[in-house]
Amino acid sequence: MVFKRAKIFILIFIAIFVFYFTSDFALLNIEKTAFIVSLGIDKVEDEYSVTAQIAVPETSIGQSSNDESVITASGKTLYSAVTKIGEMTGWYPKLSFCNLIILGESMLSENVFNVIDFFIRSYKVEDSAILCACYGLAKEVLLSHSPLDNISGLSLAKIFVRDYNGASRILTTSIKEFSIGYYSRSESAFMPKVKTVETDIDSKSGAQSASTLSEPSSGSANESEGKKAPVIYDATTSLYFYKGEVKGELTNDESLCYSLTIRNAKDSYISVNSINDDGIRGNFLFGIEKVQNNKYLTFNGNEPTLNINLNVWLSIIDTNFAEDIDSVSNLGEMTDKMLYDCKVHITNTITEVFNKTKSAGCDLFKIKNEAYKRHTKEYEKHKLTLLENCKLNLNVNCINNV
Amino acid sequence: MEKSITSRQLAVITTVGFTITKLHILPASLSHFSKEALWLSALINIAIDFLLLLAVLKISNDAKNENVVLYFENKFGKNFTKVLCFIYALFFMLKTFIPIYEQKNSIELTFYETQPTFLTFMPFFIVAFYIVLKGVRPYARSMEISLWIFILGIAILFLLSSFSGNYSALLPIIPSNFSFLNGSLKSLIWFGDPLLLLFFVGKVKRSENHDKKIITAYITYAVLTIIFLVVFYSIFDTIAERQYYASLKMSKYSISLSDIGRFDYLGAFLLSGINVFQVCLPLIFASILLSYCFNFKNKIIPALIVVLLEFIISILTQNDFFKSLSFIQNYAVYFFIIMTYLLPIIFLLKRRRNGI
Amino acid sequence: MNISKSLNENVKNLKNLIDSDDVFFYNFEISSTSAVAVFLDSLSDKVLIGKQVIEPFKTLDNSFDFQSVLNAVNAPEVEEVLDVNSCAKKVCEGDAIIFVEGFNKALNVKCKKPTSRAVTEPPTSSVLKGPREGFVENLQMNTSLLRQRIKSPDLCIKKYTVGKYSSTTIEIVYISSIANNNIVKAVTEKIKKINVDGIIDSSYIIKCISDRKTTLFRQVGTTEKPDILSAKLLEGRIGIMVDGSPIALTVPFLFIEDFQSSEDYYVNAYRANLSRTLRVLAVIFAIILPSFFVAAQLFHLQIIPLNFLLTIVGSIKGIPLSPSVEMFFTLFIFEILNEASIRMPRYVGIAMSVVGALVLGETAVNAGIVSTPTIMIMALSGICIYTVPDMTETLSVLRILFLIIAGSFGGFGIVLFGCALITYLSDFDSFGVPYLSPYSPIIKNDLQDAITMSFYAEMKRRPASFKPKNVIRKKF
Repeated sequence: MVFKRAKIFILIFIAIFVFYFTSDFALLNIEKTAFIVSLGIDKVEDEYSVTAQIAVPETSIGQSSNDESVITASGKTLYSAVTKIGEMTGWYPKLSFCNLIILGESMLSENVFNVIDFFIRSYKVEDSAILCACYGLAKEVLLSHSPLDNISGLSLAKIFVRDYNGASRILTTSIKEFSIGYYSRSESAFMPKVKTVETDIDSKSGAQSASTLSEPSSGSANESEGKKAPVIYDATTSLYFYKGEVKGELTNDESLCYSLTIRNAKDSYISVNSINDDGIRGNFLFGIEKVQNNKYLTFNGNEPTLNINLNVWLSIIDTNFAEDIDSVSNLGEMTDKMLYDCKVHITNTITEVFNKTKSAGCDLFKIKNEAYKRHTKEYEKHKLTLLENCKLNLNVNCINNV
Repeated sequence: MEKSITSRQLAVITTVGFTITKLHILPASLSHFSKEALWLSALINIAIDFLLLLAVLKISNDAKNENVVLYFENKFGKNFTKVLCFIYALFFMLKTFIPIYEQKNSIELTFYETQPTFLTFMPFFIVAFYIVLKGVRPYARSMEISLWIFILGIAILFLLSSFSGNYSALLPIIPSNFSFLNGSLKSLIWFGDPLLLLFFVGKVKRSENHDKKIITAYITYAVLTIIFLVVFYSIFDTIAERQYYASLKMSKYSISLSDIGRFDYLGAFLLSGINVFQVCLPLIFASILLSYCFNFKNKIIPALIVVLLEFIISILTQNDFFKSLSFIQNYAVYFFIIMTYLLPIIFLLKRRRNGI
Repeated sequence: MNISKSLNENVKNLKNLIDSDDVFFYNFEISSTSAVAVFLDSLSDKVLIGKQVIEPFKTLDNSFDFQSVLNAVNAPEVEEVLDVNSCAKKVCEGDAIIFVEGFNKALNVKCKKPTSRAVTEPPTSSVLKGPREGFVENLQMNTSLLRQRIKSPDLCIKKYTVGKYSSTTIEIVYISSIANNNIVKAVTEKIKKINVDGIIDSSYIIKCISDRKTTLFRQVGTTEKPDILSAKLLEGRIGIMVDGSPIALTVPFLFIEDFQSSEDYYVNAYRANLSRTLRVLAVIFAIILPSFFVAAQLFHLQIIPLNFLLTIVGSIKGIPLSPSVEMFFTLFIFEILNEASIRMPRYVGIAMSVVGALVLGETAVNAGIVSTPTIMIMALSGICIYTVPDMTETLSVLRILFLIIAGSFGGFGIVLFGCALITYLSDFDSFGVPYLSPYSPIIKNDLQDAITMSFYAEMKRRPASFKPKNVIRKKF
């Protein structure tokens, strides 16, 4: 019996052994796999044009720096375009490393959820990938060269990830968050819009020389050698959506101030025109050290009011004029006037955001959601007019961060 | 009758085994019917199951040293018991169909991208056959080892996921309509686990506070399941109903954008291992019951029949799992209810009539 | 065959039974009566026979009887023998047999010359802190080493002779006031049932008394150190010592024992806990790492961090072997090097290391046959496997099995094989004690000395797994 059993085990072992040596049947052959780190989606005529940025290691062993490879394919549906990338290159397009999805401007004219839906249904893409729109073609953004990383997609992802971790100057969102917003009762969501800003620094020298960035308006593009000038990315403006359609755009200040109402920002900054204690007027850069926000909805009869209490701890970082010699080490005291100016600036900006999104029919402040969750009866009663009747009661409190 | 397992092992099976089967499709299914009240639907089912558990404990106190089949025989006679055992064997095989498929799909969709599905999952049936063949004692001991793996796996899962949720997603706490009751009904097929404990009767070396241990274990399971569902919905909110295989997806959000790689898969792998054991438990009982019905002398034949049948069902329904699931949720659920809850009730009624 | 009164006949019969040239027949006289001393030239102590056996016979007068012959001998172990077959057996064991003309009995004198090396530190279990004595091949010496540590009348030593041809002496040792009678009985019965040609080493006993004859896992504990054996006896285990083997056996054996080192009890508890945890992790790494790496490369690329993945892709460019075959090839080379380095003479060891590490490793990488990460993973696994020396045989086989399964079925294959392994081990009992105890079934008391260990002062009770007669081992 024992020997019979041993024989059976040996047979199973041999079978698995044979399987082991022959089983490499069209698996994910690691060398034939395209590790797509970012996807750009444009709409050209009736077809989706998908640009995949693939991380390709350099040939010499041991080097971790990557070259980049950008491949574009078109298809009637997103999936057909993605599979075409595989057909064109012979590589298997591996999407699970894709952390960034850029929608080109051409995509914004239709319901963007037509393409985002693919990503939340597919198990091949992680729905934690960051989602953003861009000016012009997404393909162009991916083809740009950045001094921050050899792969443009990764360098762009870096600014989002940094922001995600607290800076809050960008309204970073992911596929999952966008989808949650889309399917919520508010049916509203946002995403940052990226523009490329040319810079004259050498991409080889990397971020160390980033201080020589030129203003976008200067137009000092380094195209003397026929190469594209290196670029950095600005994603501080944002788009807001209702039912998947773009309803408007938030400026960088608006994005920041809206962000203060929904996130606990830290390590961020805001620029406000004010007067210092010597009576000099100028642009002050205030550091946002800490934010406390509290948002709730109240019903006064049939009239809904969105109450937002915002406490912002500020400190002076910089000014656009020279200070006295005795205040070099200290950029001056934060005066009540400054705090007041900041308060007014933030209040006005948030009110502006509230009004413009409301008039566009976009429930960016999740009023309907809030009503459903905390005032279900009222929600059922007023759900059709809730947004347009809603008033804002904003209480911003700027505090000197000592 | 050999007392092969301890009260503690039964308690571990109650906590680990019951919890593990709730981490795959159930959260998405509950979200579909009950939305943010998913935890309430689950709580109702857990409460119903608690009554079932109390009934099972009562029966096991009553049966003392008799095993469940002998107990059946004493109450219903030999022929009826054989029929009953056969029906229960079939029921257990049907009940296992869902967890097997959950396991299969979750593994294939999340771990394997291009691998042919049949080949990756086929070894499961070989291992299942081995576990079924070994029977209750090694299973119970394995579950005790699994306890440590479970703790590690669930800790990874909760630590990585509980901080990335928005808990206001679960509001309103008191739902505005009664759709959660429908959620309870449609998700009943994932519950009814205390029935499995009935088939351990007579095999347990009962410790002094046996009942207390089992009830504590059950409460632990209930708390873990509710917390899991709450965390799950707080993370996925309105898209929760699309998130099948929740345990594999929940924990990625805190690390997916970091450079450390997806070590949350480690937790997923560990939990999938425990699931293998839990999936086999009804099969073990099905094999024992078949063995009784047809007087098999050899343990291999009933084990082989049970596993082969599961294998064939899996092959036949390979591409229609969700259709099958929908059929079970809408129609077969009543059969599930009868088989799960009716028998213990009949037992108790008979017991009362006999004046015990 | 009974001993006759005729000396010549007895000598002739004995010669027929033992046809060997190293059997010495020494003729002498006791008060003019002929006598013959028969002993093995190679094994018996001739000086002892001369001084303590033959010389005292000169004091006997003419009217001596067999009892006075018996009394005259100065050796402590003297007995009568009545049949020639027993005489032959005793001679082969190294005893001396004295035949005296006119007596149908013989005298058996224990005079085996102890041939033993010195007590040294065993190479397989050297310690930084703690006793350095190790068992030797001489059973008497080993017993004395044990007795030096446990000077209690409760230390029971039962002797058995096993082996049709080898007649090996085996001692079952236990502390009667601690060890569970059922386990002692079970061990004794198993030893008595052994019916083999010979017991050359204690490992033969392992194979004979193990419940599962075909298993990969150890079912009997082994130790070369008397301090470890003593500690295990004090916990309620039973020891088996075999003449001719420096390795003592202990039963019942638990899976967790391999992770416990004697030094853990001699050093600080914090360090001991760290060491044990490291050993467990190292064992997991040793068997899982190569297979997991292969599974990740073949099936689950998403598990590997992107940067590391790109490093891997960069390093495997141009390598003709698939990840699974590459790892198998590396493992194969590693096992060959390992096998060779254990058996080769020490003076070629350095040359072997150079050939192994530099020529094979470096050149294989440079030649593009294997990749650097694979070599690194294999090396890490290779080192990890030696953190638990007693498990290396099992682990090296398991590593290959896991690798083959991972290469064929991926990560879920590893999980499934792990499940099957846990079930297999859970079904295991060693002399009635669950093999995976104290984790399965959980025995609260014994968790104090498992993967983690409590402070010495807290370990007041003996392991409950062995169901000892006397539970309390210390009172503070």
